[in-house]
Amino acid sequence: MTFEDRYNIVVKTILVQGLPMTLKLIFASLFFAMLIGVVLGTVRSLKIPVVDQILGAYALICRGVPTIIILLFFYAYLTKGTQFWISVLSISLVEGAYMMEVVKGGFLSVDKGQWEAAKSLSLPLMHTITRIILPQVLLVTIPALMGQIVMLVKGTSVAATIGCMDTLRRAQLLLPKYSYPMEIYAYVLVIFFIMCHFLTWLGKKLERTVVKRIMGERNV
Amino acid sequence: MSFNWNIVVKYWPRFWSGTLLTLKYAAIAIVIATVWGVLMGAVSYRKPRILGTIVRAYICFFRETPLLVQIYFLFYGVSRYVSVSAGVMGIVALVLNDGAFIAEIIRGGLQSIEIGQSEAAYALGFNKFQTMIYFLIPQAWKKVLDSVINMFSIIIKDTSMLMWITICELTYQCNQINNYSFNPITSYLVGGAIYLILFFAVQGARKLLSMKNNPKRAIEKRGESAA
Repeated sequence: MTFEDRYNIVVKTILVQGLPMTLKLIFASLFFAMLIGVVLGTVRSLKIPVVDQILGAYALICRGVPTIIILLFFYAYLTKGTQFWISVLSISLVEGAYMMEVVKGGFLSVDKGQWEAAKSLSLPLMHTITRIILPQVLLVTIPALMGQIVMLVKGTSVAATIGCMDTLRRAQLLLPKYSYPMEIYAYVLVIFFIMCHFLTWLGKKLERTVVKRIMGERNV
Repeated sequence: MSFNWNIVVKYWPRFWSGTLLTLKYAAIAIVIATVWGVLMGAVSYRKPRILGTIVRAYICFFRETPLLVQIYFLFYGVSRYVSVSAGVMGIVALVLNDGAFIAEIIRGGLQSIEIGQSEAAYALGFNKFQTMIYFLIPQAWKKVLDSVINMFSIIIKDTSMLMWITICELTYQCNQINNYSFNPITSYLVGGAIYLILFFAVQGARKLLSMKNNPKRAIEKRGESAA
């Protein structure tokens, strides 16, 4: 393989054509997954009788069934929508369920006494939530949430299997032209590794910042 | 288009063979990945100079790249030079990927053991290897059993990726049944239900084991739920 071929593969195809699609997939699914996670997680932490069971079943299904089955089901069942939106739908449904559990766990980890203590000091509700409850929730959820975001970034690669033109699919389409599968897939692996490693690094840094802001300098 | 029992009955042999194949690959991958994960976890805990760096890099790399790309890389890339069957490559990919996750769990468990344990073992004249085998790994294993069994259910889910390298497991069969019968609800619902049953089986085993491991905590928990 000449240098020009490598330039064509890496820069012209994978980085210029494939990567923007992958990033779009990541940001769209992340947005919806976070939306599902935060809203439904908050609802779940309230423990409303019937709603709680329904959401529990939803979380169980998304944890037990592979993403591919859900993706293929939507791809076969929905007659409208592009591959991109079908991928976004299934990825954000699955990852949203995980995030819902994380957020719920964060809310439930805050002791009931915190609410009562704030009430006995007659703090206004807004103040209680923003200054007392949320910092403690963030302390628990941010590390887990960052781990989940890394899983989401890795999970977007399955979109290629239904023909969404992301990095992996572009790389696959190169194979008839350049028959160096090992090298081409290695580029894809490296790109995903860079993205995920950056996110892991960011998560560690964010965690340290949050701990410093909330618990003080000594606990870092 | 709605749920149709006739399709389930007609294509049941396909569902069944897919389930058996999924179980077979999952079982093999679980056994090898556990052994591999414990090995790698122990090495990355001990941090020998050169090997430790390599193992750390391996764990980091395989945890932060998608399984699907790894499978493609191994099946289409590596098997050009090493000729093995798709099944073996699939198992290798699952073991490398999930073994890295298990290794990280085991390393966490090893790190949570207090240093006095290994010091006591050294004082009794055990060497490093024996300390690892007889003292540290059994204790760490007990601590992390819960998360490792959770990984097993993830491995069962991960076997669905093998459909893209020509292995006719459950997801592949569901896809085929949908192609024949044009009824996505039936085919994927049954497939999903089978995966869910496997998931419940693993979670049930996890609960039983954790109850057996620390009966005291289980009784306390039961008392809580009763009260």
